[in-house]
Amino acid sequence: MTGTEDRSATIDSIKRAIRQRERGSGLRGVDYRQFSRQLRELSEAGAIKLTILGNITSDLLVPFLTVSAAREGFQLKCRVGNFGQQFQDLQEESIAAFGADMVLLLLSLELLRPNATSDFAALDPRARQSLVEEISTEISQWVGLAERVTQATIIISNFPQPVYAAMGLADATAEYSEADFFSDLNRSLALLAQQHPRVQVLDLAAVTNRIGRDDGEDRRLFFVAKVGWTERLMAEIGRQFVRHIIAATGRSKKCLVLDLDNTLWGGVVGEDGPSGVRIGPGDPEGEAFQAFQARVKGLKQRGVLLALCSKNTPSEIDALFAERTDMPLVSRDFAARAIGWDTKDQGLVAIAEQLNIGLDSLVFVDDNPAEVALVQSRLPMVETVQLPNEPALYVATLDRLPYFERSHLTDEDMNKAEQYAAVAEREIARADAKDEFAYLRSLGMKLELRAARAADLTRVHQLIAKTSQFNTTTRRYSYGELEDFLASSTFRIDIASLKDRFGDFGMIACMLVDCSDERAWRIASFVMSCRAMGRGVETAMLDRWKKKLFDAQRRAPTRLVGEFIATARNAPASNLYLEQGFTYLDEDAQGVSLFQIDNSTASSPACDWIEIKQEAL
Amino acid sequence: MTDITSRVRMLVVDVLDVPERTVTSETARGELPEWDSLGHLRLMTAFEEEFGIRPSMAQINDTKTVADLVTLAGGASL
Repeated sequence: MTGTEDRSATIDSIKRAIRQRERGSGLRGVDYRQFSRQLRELSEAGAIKLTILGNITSDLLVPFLTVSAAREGFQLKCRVGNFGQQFQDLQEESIAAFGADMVLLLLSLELLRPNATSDFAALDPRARQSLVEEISTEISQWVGLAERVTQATIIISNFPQPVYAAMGLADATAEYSEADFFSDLNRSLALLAQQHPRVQVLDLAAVTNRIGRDDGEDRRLFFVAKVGWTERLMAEIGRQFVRHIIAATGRSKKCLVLDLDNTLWGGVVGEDGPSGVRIGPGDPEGEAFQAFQARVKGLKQRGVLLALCSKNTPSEIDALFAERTDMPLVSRDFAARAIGWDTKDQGLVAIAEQLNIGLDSLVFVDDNPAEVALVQSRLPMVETVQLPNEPALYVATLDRLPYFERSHLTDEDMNKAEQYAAVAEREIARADAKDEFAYLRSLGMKLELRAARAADLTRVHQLIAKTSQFNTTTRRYSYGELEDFLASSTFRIDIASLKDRFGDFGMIACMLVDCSDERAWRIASFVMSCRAMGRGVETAMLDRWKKKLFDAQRRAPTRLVGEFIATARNAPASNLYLEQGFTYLDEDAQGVSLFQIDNSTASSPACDWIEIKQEAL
Repeated sequence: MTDITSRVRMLVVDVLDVPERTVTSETARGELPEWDSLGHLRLMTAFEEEFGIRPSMAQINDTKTVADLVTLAGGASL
């Protein structure tokens, strides 16, 4: 049983093995012990490091966290602090040595403040309220300390409310009831996350509710070991934690691609006709499909792009959307579509091209197992979702997907789908224009350039985390690192926001410049959203620096150095520096290509097609 | 009985991740560095899953040897 595992296992091979096991025997058939052992044997290079602190014996939870993470392709390396030493463990230098990427605080209220549970009925209302304040102050101090000692993403778990109130039915009418106590306490944690961009709340209350207290709680283990969770609950906590990993690393998927017949409505439009398919009130199945469409629409509202990939006659689908205006989803909700008789993998490739995003940013949903299997085998980088036979369960299937998580929604997220809808209108403008420059001028672009401020960091972090194409170094900075850059007097974060007559893109590019060597300013990262490519934004951003260089040049020779690290995805950024008049210098010992420009004589096209508003650099 | 004994032994070997030869019926808690209090918890939860038996707190506490686990798996009280 031991020592026989494949030594050449990788995180991807383990991910595949876990999924295969799941297909065979369901989620509960996954052998966490076996997979966590295989994971321990992997090289730790590149693993996400998690430190777990608090007053819960978290050791038993570790395999559930690592295996759930591996199921989504993340390698997690965990370290568990000392029981009840969450403050002391932060002061230790070991946390710095371990270099945590994420810190998770798990607290049992029963152990933290025994009187909050055992004596609740005996406390007077004011004492209950001050207990909430005391606990939230303690956690807020812990967060403050954690922010100072690490650059990690900080995750705090909230508190499930007891399922039987200490005062019984009378809790409902009590002054400052147990229900008030828990809602205020958990609310105070949510406020912490609102005020501290690096903090996320692990909703243990919701996770516990999903499993139910009877199946989730093990009181024997609580008394024996100070961890009162069943394996089933720990597996669910593991799945929830994956959402935090996705949010913290910015690895959320960008687009949900949907089949049509028997996915968005019941029946087949080619046979039943636009008015014959089941969607909408009056029919149980129709109502289930309507609920699913509404949930899909909710994803669009939080910034997920929607696309259609189906085998239908396009004109029939146009007719259906025109006729069935009672559906929650309308034609304009879809940023891209591949409707026709091509195979689904061809359709997905076309959609990724239309949206200019990677195939690994797509999640494909279909009711037909053959289509799902085809996509799995031909496009393994696309995440696939097999809908169950029962349409009533579609919403729950969608809800269980962790892929679209973000810890904060920015204005850019909220408007994302609208922006993509404007793509088609821009394409018409392009077709009408005489040449590329005429087209660019016709867009009426307005570009705002300035240094980033604290309020911009969430979007800067997201942009850097999610951009793989126009990204010169693909260095993924943590939020904490960006905070340090912002505070530093020698580092500079420049941002660009773009509008045109069709819509507002929001912040679409940023560059990080290290000026600690005043003779050689290094552009450590230049990142631009693919939506802004081909607009001359990079020219405008670098022109600012060339001008600053020219001004500085009169005092002392100074160079601007651009770094470039080639990846499988960032070819679009490979010519950035040459196009902007830099010359290739060398490759350094770490394999970073260096480009430099040391005066402003190199020609750069004036961006007369963009109206630029800028702060002095 | 021998079948249960070997299943229990293999479980101990697997959960504690120790060489097979180090585990006999007489092996006791504390003898193997891996069978510490945390190892014991892992063992008892895995035992529960494997044999479908929910040991009481007293049984978790009183289980000291591989032989005790075998007895527990056989349904006999300690």
